[in-house]
Amino acid sequence: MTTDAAAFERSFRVEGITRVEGEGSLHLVVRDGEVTEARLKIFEAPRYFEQLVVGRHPDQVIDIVARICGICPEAYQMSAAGAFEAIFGVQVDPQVRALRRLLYAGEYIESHALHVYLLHAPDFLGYASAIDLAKDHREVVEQGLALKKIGNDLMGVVGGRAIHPVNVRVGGLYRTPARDELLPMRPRLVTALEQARATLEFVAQFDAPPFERDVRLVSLKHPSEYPLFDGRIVSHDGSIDIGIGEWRSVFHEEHHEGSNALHARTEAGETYQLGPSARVTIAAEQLHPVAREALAKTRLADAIARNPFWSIAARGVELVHYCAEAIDIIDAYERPPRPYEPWSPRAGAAGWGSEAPRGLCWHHWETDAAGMVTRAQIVPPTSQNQGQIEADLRAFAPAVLELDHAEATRRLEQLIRSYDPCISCATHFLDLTLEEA
Amino acid sequence: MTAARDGSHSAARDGLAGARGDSRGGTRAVLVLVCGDAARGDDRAGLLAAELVRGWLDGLATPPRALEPALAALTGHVDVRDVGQLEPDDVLSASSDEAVVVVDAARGLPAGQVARRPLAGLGSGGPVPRSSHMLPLRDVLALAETLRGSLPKGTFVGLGGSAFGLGDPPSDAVLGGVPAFAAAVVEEAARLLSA
Repeated sequence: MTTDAAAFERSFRVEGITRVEGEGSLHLVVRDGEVTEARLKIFEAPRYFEQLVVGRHPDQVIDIVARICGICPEAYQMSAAGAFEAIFGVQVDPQVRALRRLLYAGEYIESHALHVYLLHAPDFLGYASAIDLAKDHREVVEQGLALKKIGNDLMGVVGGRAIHPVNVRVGGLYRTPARDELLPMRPRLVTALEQARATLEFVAQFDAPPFERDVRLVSLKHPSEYPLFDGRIVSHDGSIDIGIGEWRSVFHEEHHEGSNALHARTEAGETYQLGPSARVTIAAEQLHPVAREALAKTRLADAIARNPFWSIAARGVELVHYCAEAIDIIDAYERPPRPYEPWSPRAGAAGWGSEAPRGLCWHHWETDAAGMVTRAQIVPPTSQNQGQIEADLRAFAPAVLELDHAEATRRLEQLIRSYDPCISCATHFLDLTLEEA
Repeated sequence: MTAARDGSHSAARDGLAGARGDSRGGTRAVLVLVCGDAARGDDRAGLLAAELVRGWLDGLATPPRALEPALAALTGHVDVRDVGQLEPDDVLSASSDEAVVVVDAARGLPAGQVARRPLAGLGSGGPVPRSSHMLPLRDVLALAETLRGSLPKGTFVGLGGSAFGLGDPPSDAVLGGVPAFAAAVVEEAARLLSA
């Protein structure tokens, strides 16, 4: 497209965005070189989870919410379990807590390996898909699949199965593995750690589009561990620092036309970014030393904070971190005396969050005196990132107007994929009124 | 994968190691990979069919008389795995003497109608497997084909579905179509075994 041609209206429409989780579309209108409309539409049927769980027992709920997503079920399980444990005043045994981190590490390894190798790397290397990438670089795709399999298998060992694990309950786990059951994973994780290091070195050589902007990064932060399901909700600029249950004091959800997902904003109406770039920036000091060293070698820390395309490197850093942490957990593991702490039901309410691979997944739960759920709010990470994705599309689009339409569209899709959006997760309850005759 | 991700069980699988080691030529076993999510309405179709097939194989349910020869041929030579979402590893795990039947609900067919297509033909038109999360089924097969050199001999068996909402029960059309769906899975597995 020439400069003169930019004076005309140009529309980018992608009806089925590929290589994202779920179904969404992109609609961008550029008029006289200015972006007049940027919308990431989500059109999977709304999910009525927040109504589905009303009247249910918390342990049923933990298994139900795992079904929200096939790629990040632990995010939903851990957020719900954390909220219920806050309501019922349950302290989880430290070894059981470590096992929960191990289970979640499996989810990160699986999810990040899938995204880095099969969904996002083809963008950087100029391939239409992982299939085309595999034709020229078979070893690259095989390494991604090998890493993903280790993540899957780790979830199977600790969670009972890789997809929609079934081992998490209020107070802990249904069953804790014997040390001998975990040990076979250790040498595989040592291999995975080397593969993760190689992954980070590989992606750090990519050419990311030069797109830097100031954005508010938000994640959990814990004083002594890399953020997962504990700590405070903070922003990188220090403007937000609240308890894990206080999300509503700073953020809110709102409905935007054309989307089945609610968007989240700060109370001032500002967008913000969640996910690996936010975590690596905010919690760099809590990274495993091996991952911290690997990040330093890339010299990409500043770029990760400012350029969303470099989220692929942040995922590489987290792959290193979770492989290393998983090894440490197995080395220190002693089977606890019991898999879960008993608890007594009571009426109450609590919010809790956990860091899904794609960002903070925040829940708020209310229970009656019998412990049954009376009200739920589930805020997935993608619905929080959606506003920032659209803001980035607006800011980035002028830079691709000189490209031919197909290439410009591909770059815009690449930007969306930088957020690893889980659109299936993001669509949930809007407003349901049941009238009984 | 060496074990089902979704806790599947089949007595037939117990005999599979023996089947792999016997002296039959050609296809010595059939891997039935069952996709679907029990919580998503008609996406449960494959799981319901697999339950029925296991019941027939294990002698816990009475099969239609016409299927008895096929079931007898398959006993000890078939592994029915619930995989939830098909992944490249599932297809890559098939050995050179194993055939594969992929079972899933499908869009693009009237609800309750059964369709069979060669795995190699899934890339062009026809019913679309419901599985869309993570990697779409077609991408999984294409990736496996690239990495493996060729796809294993195999068939996709689909049942048309219409409602895939979370928490929905399967539609009447899909529930009514499950016996024919299960029969088609058995027939295809037996055909591949004898081919």
